[in-house]
Parts: sequence; structure tokens; C-alpha cells
Amino acid sequence: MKNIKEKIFDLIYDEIEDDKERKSILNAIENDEELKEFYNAMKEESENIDPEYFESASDSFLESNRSQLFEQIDQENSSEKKTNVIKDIFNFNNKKQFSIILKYAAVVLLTFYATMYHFNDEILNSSNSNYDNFANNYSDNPNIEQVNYIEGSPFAETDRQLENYRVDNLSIDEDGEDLQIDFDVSTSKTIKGKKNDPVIIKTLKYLIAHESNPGVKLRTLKAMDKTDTNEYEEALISTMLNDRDELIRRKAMKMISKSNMSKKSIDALYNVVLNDPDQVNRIEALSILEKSDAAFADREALTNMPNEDNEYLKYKTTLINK
Amino acid sequence: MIVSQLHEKDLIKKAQEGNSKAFERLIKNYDRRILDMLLNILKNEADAADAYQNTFMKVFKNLHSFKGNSSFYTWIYRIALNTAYTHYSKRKKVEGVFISEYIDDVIADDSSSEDIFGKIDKREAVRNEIEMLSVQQKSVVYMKSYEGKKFREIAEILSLNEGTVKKYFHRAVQKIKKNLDTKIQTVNCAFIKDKKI
Repeated sequence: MKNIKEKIFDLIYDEIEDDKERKSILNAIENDEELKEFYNAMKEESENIDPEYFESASDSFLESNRSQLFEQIDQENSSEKKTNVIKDIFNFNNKKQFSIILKYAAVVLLTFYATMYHFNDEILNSSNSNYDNFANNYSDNPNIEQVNYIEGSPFAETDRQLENYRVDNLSIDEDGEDLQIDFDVSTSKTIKGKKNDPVIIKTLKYLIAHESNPGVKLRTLKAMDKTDTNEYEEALISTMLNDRDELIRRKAMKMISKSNMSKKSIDALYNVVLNDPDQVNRIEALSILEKSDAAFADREALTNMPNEDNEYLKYKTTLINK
Repeated sequence: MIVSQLHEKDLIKKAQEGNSKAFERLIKNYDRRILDMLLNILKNEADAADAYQNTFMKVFKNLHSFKGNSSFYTWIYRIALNTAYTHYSKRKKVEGVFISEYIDDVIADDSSSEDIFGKIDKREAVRNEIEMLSVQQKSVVYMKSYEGKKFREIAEILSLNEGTVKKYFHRAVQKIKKNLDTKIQTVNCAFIKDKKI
């Protein structure tokens, strides 16, 4: 019995290619009530799984990823070529020869550093200077004020210090007298202030508009929720109408519904009822409007929805039209 | 453009010798399917784009180690899937509190508007249920239902035996059905209540 049930499973999920075998399984089902019941239950389960529940990437998204990838590969290829040129020049392919060269280079470098250290120490002692030696000076005070900044550099402001930044994906290219330095830079920031502080408000608005992580957005919305201010209305409306995550849009909607709703908020909620791609959000918006908009029943938008597919919304508009 | 198997071998050889045009042609043959998979598993364009770049850079750097023991597509797919899993778990770690808080909120949100949830069409509800599956279950369901792969092909990609893959899949399908049934029941009650009012 176990074997035939496994076969039924395979049959339902298109695993059986042989026609004869398919027929024999179907015959077995036909002649056994228990198997028939099992087959129907499995069939019902399988109906919940359909390719339409998944999405396909857009052509433009694919193309942008391709061009980025091939650009990166070109860079890799050209840097590999440079390495090969160096290998060819020094004939580093011979490992034994390469290790001897490395040993010589290490000895020369150590001698150089020892000499520099000796003289540096002498100069500092003789001048009775307050300066630390060069190494300490560099590590303790990485302020890079003396550098000639180029427009667009994150270090362009003189009070910024290198130690506050994390640099990733660094690449340095030499072009004659010029150096081109490419890197990603990130830093951590702490902003502290009263909940109504304009800087706090501005930061939260910035986060909700620009952050891509839904978890961060949710936390931002919760922080906004703790403040009794109308300052966030625009940001919340924009989030409710435009965010790509339906749950974030819903959260923004719920926050709007808790405030004294302006005409702008109410109009935006009608927009959600009519246009939000998420059916839950549409119904939720309708429920909020039903409770809070005095002119709800007279809204032309709701009384004229002939092409509506959503059963619940259709039912609601019928009630309004009555 | 479909590359024949013979031609594919030729392209792989050329790409292994450093011919970047051959590599481009190889990738273009498979990258749409890989990107679709990454997008459906990670559910976020930014993460899918990152994982796409990581996958194909790994393919590029390790091409010399491809010996042809599996098909080229299976080899790439396995790299892509592992990259997606790593991305997923990294995202969970980095955003630890945020992600768990987000999921908590999703659950809380479902219960607060449960009467509304089920009034939606079934497609939306199933999508939500698939999203709630573990990343492994989701990838098996994706490969089976969207890509139409056989269980033995999925097993090869995941380096598991076929029986285990079937179990993964069946548990996922049962879970979806069970959760949907509960919701539909709640909705029916709410609908009836609503109509009485």
C-alpha cells in the first residue's frame, strides 16, 4: 500500500513519464476507495501550488545586472593581465627563483627600516621636539586635512577623520601622474534628540524614503508612531502609496488612520482602495474610510466600480449603492 | 538563444581558456532563470542583484574547476542557490532584530485583521503562505512548481536524496494547505458576521 501511495504522489506531481504506469496507477485508484480518498486529498493539496504564485524578473532588471557583471569581469581580466605581465617580466613562474627574490627583498626592506628608525630617533631626541615619531603621529591623528581633496570625496570636509569610515571594494589605478581611487565608504552615526527635534524628524523621514530593508523601515515607522506630530503625514502618505512592500504600506496606513486625518489622507486612502495591488490593503483602507469619512457613502469612486474583481469590495459597493 | 550541448562544451572550453566573449554567451543562456530564482527566494531586488553578481563572479573565478560531472546549468544553479542561502542567513544575522521584529509584526498584523485577510483572492493568500516557508522549503517548492523540475534534478542540485526532497516538498505543501484552511474558515465566519450586520 505504501508503494502505491508513493506512486500516487509521483503521479500527481508529474513524475511518472511512462503512460502504461500512469494507467495502472489510475486503475488502482479507481478500484480502491481508500486510494481514491488519498488521491483526492493529495490532489487538493497540489492545487495550492501553481507557477503563477512566483514572479519573473523584468528585462530591464536582467540587463542592468548583466552589464554590471560584464563590466566587473572586464576589470578582473585587465588586472589579471597586469599580473601576468609582471610574472612574465620577472619570470616568477619558477617558484624557487621567486622565493629567493622574496628573501632578498625582505632583507633589503628590513635594513632600510632599521636605518630609518635609527636616524628618526636621533633627530627627535636632538631637537627636543614635542612631536611623536612618525608612526605614532599617523595612527593617533589620522586627520587628513593636508590632502588636496577632489570634489565628491567623502573626506572633503576637513573635520572628518578616516578612522570613522569603513572602506570597502577599494581599487587604485595609476594613470600617468594621476591616481584614481574607487571605493565604497560607510560610517556609523548617532543622532540623539527629543522626539520632536527637527533633526530626528528629518532623519526618520529620510530613512522611510530611502531605506530598502523592510525591517529598518518598520522600526522607523514605529519610531514615528511614538511622536505626537503631524510632521510625518506627507511621508506616511507617500509610504502608503508607493512603498514596494505591502506590509509597510499597511503599517503606514494604520498610522494614518490613528491620526486626525486631513482631506489629503482621506483622498490617499481612496487611492489605496482603488489602486493598491494588495487586496488586504484595499479592504483595510475601505474599512478605515467607512469608519472615518462622513461622506463615505456618497463617494463617486466607490459607487462606480463595475470592473471590480474582489468579491468583498463588490459586495461593499452593492451595499453603498443601495 | 539556446546553445546546443556540443556548442556548450566548446563555449565552456573557450571560457576556461580566458575567452570572455564565450563566457558572456554561456552566462546569457542561463542567467534569466538564475535571476528569477534569486528574486523569488530572496524576495528583494537589491538582494537578488547582489546574489546575481556574487554567483556569476564565483562561476567566473571557478570555471577552471568545472569538470563536467554534472550539467553546466546544474553546477551554476547549485552555486546560485548556495549564494542565495548565504545571503538569506547573512541578512538574518545583520538585521537580526529587525527581521525578526518584521516577521513578528507580520504575524501580529495577520491576527489583527484576520477577518480581512481571507476576503482576498486565494492567490494572494497562497503567496503569503509560500513567503512564510523556510528558505529551503521555498526553494524546493519554487524549483518544482515554477521551473517544473523533476524531484531527482532538485535532489542533484541540493545534494540530497530524492526521498528527502519529496518529504521537504510534501511538508511544505501540507503546511500551506493547513494554514489556508484555517484562514478560509476564519474568513467565512467573518463574512457571515459582516452580512448579518
